[in-house]
Amino acid sequence: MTDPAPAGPTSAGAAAGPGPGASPGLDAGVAVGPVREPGVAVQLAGVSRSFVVRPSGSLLALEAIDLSVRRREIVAIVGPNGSGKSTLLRVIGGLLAPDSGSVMVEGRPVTGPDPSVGFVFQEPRLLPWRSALDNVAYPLELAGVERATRRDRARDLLRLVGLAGFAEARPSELSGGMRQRVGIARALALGPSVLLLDEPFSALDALTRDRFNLELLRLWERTATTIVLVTHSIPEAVFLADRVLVLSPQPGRIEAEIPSPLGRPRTVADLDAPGVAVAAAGIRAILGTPGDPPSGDPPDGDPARGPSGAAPSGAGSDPAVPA
Amino acid sequence: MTGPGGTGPGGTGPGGTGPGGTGPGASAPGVRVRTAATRQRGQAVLAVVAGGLAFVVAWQALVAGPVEVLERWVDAWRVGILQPHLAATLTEIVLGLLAGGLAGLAVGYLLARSRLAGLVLSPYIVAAQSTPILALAPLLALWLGTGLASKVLICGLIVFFPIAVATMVGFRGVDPRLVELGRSLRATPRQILVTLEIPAALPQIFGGLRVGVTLAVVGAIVAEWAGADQGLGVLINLARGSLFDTPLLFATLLTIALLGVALYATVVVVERRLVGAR
Repeated sequence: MTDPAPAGPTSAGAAAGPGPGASPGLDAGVAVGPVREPGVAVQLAGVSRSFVVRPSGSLLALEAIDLSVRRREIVAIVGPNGSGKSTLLRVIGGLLAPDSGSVMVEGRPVTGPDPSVGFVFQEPRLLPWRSALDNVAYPLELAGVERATRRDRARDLLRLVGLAGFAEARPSELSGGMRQRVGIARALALGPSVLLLDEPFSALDALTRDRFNLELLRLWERTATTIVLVTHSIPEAVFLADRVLVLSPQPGRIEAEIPSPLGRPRTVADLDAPGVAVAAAGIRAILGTPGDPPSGDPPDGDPARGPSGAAPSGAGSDPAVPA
Repeated sequence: MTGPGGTGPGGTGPGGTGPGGTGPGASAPGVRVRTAATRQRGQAVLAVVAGGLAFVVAWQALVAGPVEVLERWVDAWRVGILQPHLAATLTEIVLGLLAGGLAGLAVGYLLARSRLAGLVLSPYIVAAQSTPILALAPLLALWLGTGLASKVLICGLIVFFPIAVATMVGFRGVDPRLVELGRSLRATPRQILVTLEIPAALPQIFGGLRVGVTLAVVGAIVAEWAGADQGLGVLINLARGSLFDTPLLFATLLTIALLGVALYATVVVVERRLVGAR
């Protein structure tokens, strides 16, 4: 489980799945229905999840979610508050059980947190009484890896996220961005093949955020992981992802699926590429968030929006096609 | 009282309010802050010493003066009057802290975890805490005899409450997001307790221990008053009631005070080691 893949050389790209990578192919052969292709890292079929709400009863957070993420793909999930983005991520990560439907990661049904999944939360969630190094080593410690080995590995991971010189620093001595880097290094500690990120950079300022997004892509190229990312920022989603899933609010349903117009590898220049703006405008239209007027406005009352103005009333995924 | 008066105008004048503080360049403030901090520390030490002196001077006017008491203290120590009593009291305190502390930790954890336990236990715990231990001590001595057991129990009872409450508050305050992190890393419940919850609750628990350790000293003395043949509490009674040795009485009180300070300091040292800088 302490596969050296993440820390390894850049060429390790092909060696994606460590142990678990090999198994889905075998399992699929033994007729586990939902796995359609061997290259699927995450697969959800008909997943619903509701929460008990005190006064009134229950709230349907996710409804009939079907989702298939290929290995090495980056999928971004966008949607307004309350659309179940974080719930979806927790269901994939095994932190929440779905009420119905099936969840598979690397070909295995998810029954709880899985060693092949790494989680990066919105806040760094570091243990304040531990050094950066010991925070990164924490998952290895829980997994019973011996001290010298886990410290070596944690040191490699800190180097990978550019914090080699801060191994002994306490979280309180690090900046917000550095803390989140430690959080990312920790998520990579067990060599996961799937990385789940829940608005990981939302606490950072815009400039730092751009830099972190580029670093994330660099990290992704080096670690050969599949990434599912929740974000509030539509341009960020388009810039990072291969596909952007748009969730509708209450109940959370997949409203549309928009492919990113960008190729790989991506550079700083792609942040301002015209394709990004067009795709982002398409997504905004689906979400029904016109720039200026409040959301109560009927869609046709907004002539300035051009072709995408008609989208909110439409079926859903069409407006992205022109991009 | 001379201390604060001096710190007020002297300390804030140049350091805090100085309008030129930002002007004079980048290197100066660092140095200035350090000297201000050193000065403040010096003033604090001075204030403690001055307060102590004032106390001693006032004391000199009373029955047994400080010089007399100190002489008696040194004498009693040399002859070996104090040591066995000190050892007896210290034993009671340590055992009482251990018993009351462990019980407080367990019950505090239970209270934090279970709403039901809180509802059922809280009335009894608060009622027990509100009953004056001074009134309870003779009863307990009657039931358990005048041996070590009654002392440990009384000490434990008095220590129990602050530690139980502090533990409860500490565990209730553990960030649920950290627990979720632990779960996402497949930590077992035991691992979550040991690597997340206990370290997170430790600062509060030590807060309770600081209060508890000073109460334990009082508990031991009160327990000894209810019936014992050794201990600093017994020595107080002896010095006052049968020996009419007022200097020895004060020397004993001094010993008790020093014991309290030493125990408290021990807790602080252990706390620094375990909780550290966060």
